[in-house]
Amino acid sequence: MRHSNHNVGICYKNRKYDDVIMWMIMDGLILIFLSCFSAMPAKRGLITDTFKVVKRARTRDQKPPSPPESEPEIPVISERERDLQELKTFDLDWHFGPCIGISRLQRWERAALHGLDPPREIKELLQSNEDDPEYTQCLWRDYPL
Amino acid sequence: MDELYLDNIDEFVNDHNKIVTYKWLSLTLGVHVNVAKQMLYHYLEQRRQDRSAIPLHATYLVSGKRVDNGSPYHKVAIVREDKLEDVKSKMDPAISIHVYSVQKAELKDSSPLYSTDYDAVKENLKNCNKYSAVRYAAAVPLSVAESQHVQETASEEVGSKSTSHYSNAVASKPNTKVKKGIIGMFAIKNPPKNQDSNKDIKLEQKETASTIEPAKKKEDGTTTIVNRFGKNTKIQEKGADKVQTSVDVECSKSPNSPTCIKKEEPADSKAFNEKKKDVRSKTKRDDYSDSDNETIENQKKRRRRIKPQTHSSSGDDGVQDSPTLPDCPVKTELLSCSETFSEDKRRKRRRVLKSHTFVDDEGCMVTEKGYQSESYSESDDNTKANQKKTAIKPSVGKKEDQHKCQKKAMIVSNKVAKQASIMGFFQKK
Amino acid sequence: MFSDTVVQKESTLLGPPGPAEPVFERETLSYTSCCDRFQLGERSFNRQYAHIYAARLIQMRGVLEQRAQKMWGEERGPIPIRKLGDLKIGEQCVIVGTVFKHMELQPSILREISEEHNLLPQPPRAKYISQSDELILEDELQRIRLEGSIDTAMFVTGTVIAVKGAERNDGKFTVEDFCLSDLPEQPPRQRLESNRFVLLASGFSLGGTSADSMLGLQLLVDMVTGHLGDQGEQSSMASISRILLAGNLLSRNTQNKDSNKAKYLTKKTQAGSVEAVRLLDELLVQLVASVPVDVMPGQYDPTNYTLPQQPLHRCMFPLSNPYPTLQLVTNPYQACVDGVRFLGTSGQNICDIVKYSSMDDHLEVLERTLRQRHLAPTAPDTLGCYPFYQSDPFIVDVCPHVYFSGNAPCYQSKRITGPEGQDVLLVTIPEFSSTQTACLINLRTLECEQIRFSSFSTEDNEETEMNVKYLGPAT
Repeated sequence: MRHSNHNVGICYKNRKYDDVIMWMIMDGLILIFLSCFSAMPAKRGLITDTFKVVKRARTRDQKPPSPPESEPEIPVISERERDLQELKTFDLDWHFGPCIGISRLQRWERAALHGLDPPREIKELLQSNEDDPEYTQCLWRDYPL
Repeated sequence: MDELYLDNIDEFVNDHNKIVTYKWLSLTLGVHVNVAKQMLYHYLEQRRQDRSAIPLHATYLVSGKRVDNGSPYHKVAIVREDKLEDVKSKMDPAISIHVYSVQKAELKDSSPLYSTDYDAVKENLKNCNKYSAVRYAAAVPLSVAESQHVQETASEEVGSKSTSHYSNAVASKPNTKVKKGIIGMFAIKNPPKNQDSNKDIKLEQKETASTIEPAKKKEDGTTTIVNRFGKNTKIQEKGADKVQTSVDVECSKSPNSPTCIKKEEPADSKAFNEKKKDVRSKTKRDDYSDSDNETIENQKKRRRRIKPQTHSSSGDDGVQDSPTLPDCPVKTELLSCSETFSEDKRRKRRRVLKSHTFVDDEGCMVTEKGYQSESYSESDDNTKANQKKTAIKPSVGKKEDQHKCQKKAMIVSNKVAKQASIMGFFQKK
Repeated sequence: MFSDTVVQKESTLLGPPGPAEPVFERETLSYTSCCDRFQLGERSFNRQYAHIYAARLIQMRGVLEQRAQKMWGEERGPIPIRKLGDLKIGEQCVIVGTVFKHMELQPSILREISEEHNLLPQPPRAKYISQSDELILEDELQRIRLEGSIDTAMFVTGTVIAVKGAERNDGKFTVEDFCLSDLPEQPPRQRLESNRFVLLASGFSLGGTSADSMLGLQLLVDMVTGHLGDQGEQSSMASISRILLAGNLLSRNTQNKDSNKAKYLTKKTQAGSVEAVRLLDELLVQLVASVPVDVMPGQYDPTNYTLPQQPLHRCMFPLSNPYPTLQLVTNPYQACVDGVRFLGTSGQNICDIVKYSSMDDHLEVLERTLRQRHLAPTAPDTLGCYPFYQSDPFIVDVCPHVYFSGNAPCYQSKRITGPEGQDVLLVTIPEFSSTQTACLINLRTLECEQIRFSSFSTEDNEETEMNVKYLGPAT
């Protein structure tokens, strides 16, 4: 069991700060997290699965724990990739709160609701690509809770 | 107002030995609660003057301002008469004092007061505030349609609100269908009183078809039940005569019986045989038509006993504790069924008739094939069937046949009268 | 005092039946439900609780920074307000964040599992605080340990506060002072011409073991519906414009304990709550036929467990359902009755804070939650709560006039005033089944008093029966 705990720790580190907060909070949670926790042994397998599954940028995925910033530069950046890069930057902006578990648009709207002034272009970007999960969902969409 | 009520109260208190609370009295006599309080007081005074009378005990309600540890509060207390002055003196001031109840025995504990009121209130839940001193004009129950409308609009509102608030698309869908179903469940479950009234109604139907009308009137409670009965009465009106109603009732009973009999262990079958003989010796075969009513009467009583068992367990224990008991009514029932069906020209009924005829002289058994082949023939084939049966070995077939005939009876009961649905209703519980 | 509003010349009921008895019309003025924020539309549980903490901090930060400036920045110019990431060692500044109290005794599923080998379930306690508890303040990015002049035991996890002090060399933050966000803005209260009342009660505990309390309950119903008492009292009862039942209408005993039994064993057993709900329905139908009733669910009532608890389902009340006067409402409850703003819960939030802090007194905790502008700071840490992401609905953004919590051990009430002259009545509604007490609030004067019911029992002393459980004087 200790071993699996260790794994959980790693997986949380991968997931940026919102999850780190969760990691801390987890200590305190009893009831709700029971279900979450029961899913954890499975998570070990799932992490590798998801990394295998991710189709784009296979080269990057060979080094899973590396932060997105260290992504090797691609000579020609398509419009789509530029958009996604922008959205990723939005995801990683901690001012707007955690991003996992909710859609990018929901996160944008929350930020707007609380007067945090999220960039207008992001919303337009999201609204123009409503059907594409790479657009609508956050960076860590493939990680189950 | 004449003082007839004094006699009324006297009767309640002395003859019926009741605890007469002001609320019970108000609901029973249909008078304003305050009038009821005054009546009780008046009665008490009158009786106290009459020395010869048996002593009465009363409880009073006292309310008023009290101060406890420096903080004032409003106190509402029920007290016995001997404590009245004591409590009253502690109030500053006492606002209300009135008789709460009058009874012959001295109350050690105030809980009987609750149960007395509870029964009275329960019977008058629909208009429990009819005689109270406060009226609220807005508190009028909506009709079913209205309330449904209100609910739907409410749930729609919530739905739309939530979708706007939480932009996630998975908003709650107001699922009225499901709701109805749930409401139905509760409606069935809720007033246990209805069950009693159902029983009553059934009995009434048994006696004469004409009593159905008043029975229906009684039944303005839950609509589902009314509907069931509505169907039922229609059917009965079609072929309306006394015999048929009795058939209905008997058949309605039969769904219970297979469960009883299925459970029977082989070991029991001996006892079963003996029992049967007993029955036979008591009621001779020739007397069927005459004893018909008697058997019905028996069933009436027995059904009461059997029913709860089938509720509690449709499959396992419970029934076994008196395995022989259910057998007798079943058998006699089958017999009487056959009798009554023969008068009827319908095919379906005739089928059953065949199946039942097997219960003959020595309790001989018939195979299922025999039933089916004969089911479409004329009613006078009874005798043939009987003869066939004697040829078949009784030992093994016995139980099976019992099952089968029960099943048939059940099928028939479903077809003949919708009454079975009422049984289903009971079993739901 | 309610008793003082009764105009009664002399008893009319101790005599033979007289002329026709009067019937008093009940009047209600206005009622607006403000429970929308506690209504759950979509129910998605695939979110982490990080969102609710983030939203809470985002929403509270502005208020606290203002408060901090006002409190500490006035005499010597504005004081720097820092994020934890920008702290400089030794610099006096203000930090704003969410308190996390590290508690040794707090039940932890992680600990239980990691100590699997000698697994002893942590025993349930009345209090989970200990000497070794530590306060940690978290902001959006970091956390820092708090030390100094701050009463660790008073705080609970989830409270957002502002702290003045400086970071030390060892990475801990020395606290000089702290501040809460205090009462929010309060809309003016409508002035009423006449006395109008709202009756609050909670903890009927139907289906429980004590049948005794049923008579008291029936007296309560009879009193409100105008059956009991003399004309004077009855006419006063007609000025009760609403009844609010604050949860735990069903007893704890109605909850089936053997839920871990196999399904096929329990399939045919009737849930313990069915009979109790039927009883409740019968009580409610008497009430709603005479007065508007708001029914809040509580911890033991058949609805969702997590806050905000959604209204009990209408279909459970076939008798009282047809009445438009029956309102089934959410557990944190918010409404405007005759121009007076009510806010309150069935008491789970208060009980939870009592468990995890040094405060024992429900009224004290109640005031504290209002002062920190949060109904349930311990949710989602130790109190079940829906995973909100957009905003934290438990933040009190409008100051109520009446702030209550249900199922308290005893009746208490208090008037408090806020920094901007807010005037709030705090009430802890006692559990009816054990205290036979309800509360009556006069909407005109915003005064509260208790109504106690009593009957006699075999002990032959009604006083002892009623007062055993009455713990202390009302303040």
